[in-house]
Amino acid sequence: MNIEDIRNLITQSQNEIDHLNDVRRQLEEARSTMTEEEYNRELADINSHLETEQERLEENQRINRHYNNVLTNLNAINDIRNIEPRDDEEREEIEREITARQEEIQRVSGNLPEELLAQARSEVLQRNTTNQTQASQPTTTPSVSEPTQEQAETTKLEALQRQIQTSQQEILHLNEVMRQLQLARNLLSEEEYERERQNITNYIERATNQLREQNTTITAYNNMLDNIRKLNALSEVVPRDSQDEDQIAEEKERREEEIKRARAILPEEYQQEIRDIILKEQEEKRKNRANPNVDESTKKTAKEPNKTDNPVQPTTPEKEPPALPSGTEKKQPALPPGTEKKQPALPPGTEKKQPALPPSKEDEPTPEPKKRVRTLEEILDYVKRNKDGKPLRIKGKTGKRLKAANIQVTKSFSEELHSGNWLYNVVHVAPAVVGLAIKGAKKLIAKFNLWRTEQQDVEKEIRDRINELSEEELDVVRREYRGQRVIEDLKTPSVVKDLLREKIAVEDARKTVAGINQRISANYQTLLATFNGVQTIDKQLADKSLSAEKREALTAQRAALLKGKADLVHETRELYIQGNDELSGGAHGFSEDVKASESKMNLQGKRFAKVPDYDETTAELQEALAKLSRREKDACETHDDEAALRAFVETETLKSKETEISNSILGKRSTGRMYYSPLVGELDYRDDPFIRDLFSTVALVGAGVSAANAIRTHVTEAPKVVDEHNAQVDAVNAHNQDTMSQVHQAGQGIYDKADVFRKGQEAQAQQDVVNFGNTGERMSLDSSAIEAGGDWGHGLGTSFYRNADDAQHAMTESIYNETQTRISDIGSRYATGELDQLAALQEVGKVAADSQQTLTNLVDQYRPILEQYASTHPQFELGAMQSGLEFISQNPTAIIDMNQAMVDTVQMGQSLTGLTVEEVQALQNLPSDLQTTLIGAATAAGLAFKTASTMDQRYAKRTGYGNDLTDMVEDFVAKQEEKETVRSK
Amino acid sequence: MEIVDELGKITIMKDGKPVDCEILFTFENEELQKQYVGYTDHSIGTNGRKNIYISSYNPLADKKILEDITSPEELEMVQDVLNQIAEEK
Repeated sequence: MNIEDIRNLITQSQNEIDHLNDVRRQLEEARSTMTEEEYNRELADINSHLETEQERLEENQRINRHYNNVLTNLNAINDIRNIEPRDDEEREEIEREITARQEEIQRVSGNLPEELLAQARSEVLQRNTTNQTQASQPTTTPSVSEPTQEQAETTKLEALQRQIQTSQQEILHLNEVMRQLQLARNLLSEEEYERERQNITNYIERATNQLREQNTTITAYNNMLDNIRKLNALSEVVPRDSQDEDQIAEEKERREEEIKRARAILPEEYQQEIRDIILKEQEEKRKNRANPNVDESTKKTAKEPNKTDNPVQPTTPEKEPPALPSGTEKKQPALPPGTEKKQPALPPGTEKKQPALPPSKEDEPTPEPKKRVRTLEEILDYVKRNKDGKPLRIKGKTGKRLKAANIQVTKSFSEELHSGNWLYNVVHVAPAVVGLAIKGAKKLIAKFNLWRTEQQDVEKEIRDRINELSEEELDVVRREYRGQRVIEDLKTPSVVKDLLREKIAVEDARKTVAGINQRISANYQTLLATFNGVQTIDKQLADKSLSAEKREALTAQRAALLKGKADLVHETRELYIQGNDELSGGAHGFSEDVKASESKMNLQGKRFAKVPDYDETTAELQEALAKLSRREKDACETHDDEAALRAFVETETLKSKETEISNSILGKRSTGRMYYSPLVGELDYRDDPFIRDLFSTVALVGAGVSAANAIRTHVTEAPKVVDEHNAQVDAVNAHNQDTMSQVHQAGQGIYDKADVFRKGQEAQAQQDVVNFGNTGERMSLDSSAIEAGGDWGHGLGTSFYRNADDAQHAMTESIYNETQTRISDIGSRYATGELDQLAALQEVGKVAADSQQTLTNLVDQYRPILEQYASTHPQFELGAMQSGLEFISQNPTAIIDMNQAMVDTVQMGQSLTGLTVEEVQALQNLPSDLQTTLIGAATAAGLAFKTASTMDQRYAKRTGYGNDLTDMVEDFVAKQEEKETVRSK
Repeated sequence: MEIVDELGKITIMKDGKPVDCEILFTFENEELQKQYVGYTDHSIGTNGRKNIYISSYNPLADKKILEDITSPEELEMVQDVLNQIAEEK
């Protein structure tokens, strides 16, 4: 009996009790149809069953409770043992906790059956498989009986990863402590606060240094392993020609350089492990080639063909060169030095803490052995096969261009083209078609149908294979497929690449970026704390009465504080780029605040001429950033810790000051000259130059509509409010039945328009999402970002898009100017009395309608581009923007109708002058939106305000722009400024 | 590429009147499962060039509706087809 059986019994008992209760209820209902004796007998029978079932249920629930209790406490003990105590007090606390939990286990385990205790132990062991069982497990992986190198690799890597996790948790914990300290600041004296803060800062620094070292090791480990594998793969490639040979040689040189670099960093124990892994892989590969059809389980005893009786000797690699293609026999796989005579490293683990087990249990169950992690090549091969291992028939694209097939052309057109006498306009917008008679199309149907069914099946198979990959194997893929980059030398069909990318990008990229952000955050903490520390020491050093001894101590302390900070600054910048790589296929776009300043692209940029808010101040800002960035880079290269730190702080200060975070319709946004966040992925799609430009174009045209509406309101609607107010006062005592009737009639007329108003308002509101989310957010654009836009995967960096983009700008300017001119003209004609209120309103309505039509057309044009963008940028929530555009597109006449309705309303409204208070009250029963419109507040601005409020509420729960780290930098800048102010006084 | 005498006709509405268009060429794309058709009403644009309409349709649909070509990839493919026809002897 295992715990699952117990839990099933609990469910069964509960069902049975429910059933018995039903039966008892039915018996009650049928009581009048039976004798008292029959009823009592039946009732006693049911009650007896109920009682038995209830007892059974309680007993099983008790066992389940005890089981869970044992499990929870065992797991807790193991978790607690993984904590590295910071001091003796903490160590004692941990021991106390462990003892208490052990006593609890002792108490409960007496009430549990033997087999359930064994199961609990098994669950705990499985949870701790990697740190206690690898060394002692008889492996079932193919070919060798000793622990495999893959297991060793997993153990080593996992051990390192666990350490990283612990360090990260430690940093998080310390950050939390720091936060609490800041909250409690008022309760502490300045001295106490400073002392505690310094302590925590020291702890953070220590943990961060540790984390950095661990990360460096893991990166070097992965680099070395990957590069050796690739180098070996390159050694097996037979070049097609001399050019190919040169390329291979160049690539090999690059890989060797990488290996050399990793070797300088990586401790020997890890290098040894890598050597073992490579040897093992070569051995496996050789065996697979020798016996391609041998089942994994039989490989252990398989002998190599064509090599008489030589048994496989995995531990003597010098005797077993890896299988090489003919003509390359002399090539050896690349291995780090010292490989030849080394035995495979035994997996660590003997010194590791044992997980807690229930008392006096000897028969430890054996956890399942770890599955071998496949290489990328093996994974891709696996993905391209069906579940029976047969290759799938994948029809990939050859390159990105779509291929036309089965071209048929009329003789006359062919001759016309060849004659060269004609030039053509190719129109790709379909006209209204009333008749269609195309020859030769029917025969395609069967072919397409067949193709579709087959391809859908193939795609599903590939998806299934991908879903079967283990976490470790997905890690392998992730390393090779950074963001949207693809390893070029792998001839993999695009469908496989796309599905793998989808799996990684959507599910994993955010997870990875969260880890990177955590590290960036920790680095910022350390760097800013160091800066503060150095400032404090400098202040003390400025004291001329300081003793030489003290001065020397302080100087040493200062040097210690600064040590390694150039590397830390460099690492922080690298992490930012690495994080952006994960999200967007490169730092393009989102890191333009860094990249542009470095390259000065913005100063030379072609697009700036089109950006109205690019001015001298922006140019100065970009130049200042470029200088700071250069200083920082130089200092990092020369390991000048102090200069690097100063440049870092100055850069951060400048960026932070130029980024003004404020609430907006779509959550927190920067309204300053820069869009900046120290963390990756905090900026959103509106900070991507292309999409920002695209929406800005829509926004400016939309602004024409809004301007028209606003002017109409000010010119014509506002006086109506006054009229209405006066009417209320004048007519308060003079109402009669005729007026009431008139009001009723007019009110009814207005009410009938309510739907038109609502629809129009909704469209306006949707439009304002687009407008207000973007107007005023045109900032310096980096032309290189668009040119690098090929990463988006759909040719956004092509001349097609650049031309489209240029056209957008030209059109926007023209429409905007025209709208402005027309509105000014109407305003002046109204002012001179040429137009009365109503005529002015009608004229402005026409302008608004024209602008609206243009906006609708633009939206139609951009919608497919947005959809494409959304599909390649899963990290952004574009739902609201898409639905906004969709609404505008699907209701192109909504605002035009509303404008007309408003003209009608004003006409009707004229008859409403002279309303009584009662009549006004009657109007107040109308829908609130309509009331607002009627009294002149249904302007673009009014609606936008309402939309803003609504959207603000809707987006308030979202994690918008801005984060703890942004706040931290802002706080830092504010304090620095405060210090400077005090100093200057 | 197949050169044929005739590929059929398409009738469009122009200025409120039905106008017959000659189909000049057709082709297909397996990945998108679309059929493409190029046709003309032999009208001349303001720039003196002959107008050719290019549309796509789903050959599997019961009712064939000509659709606009909007994606750059498809436009590039159309350009390729025109080049191929021009180069074909």
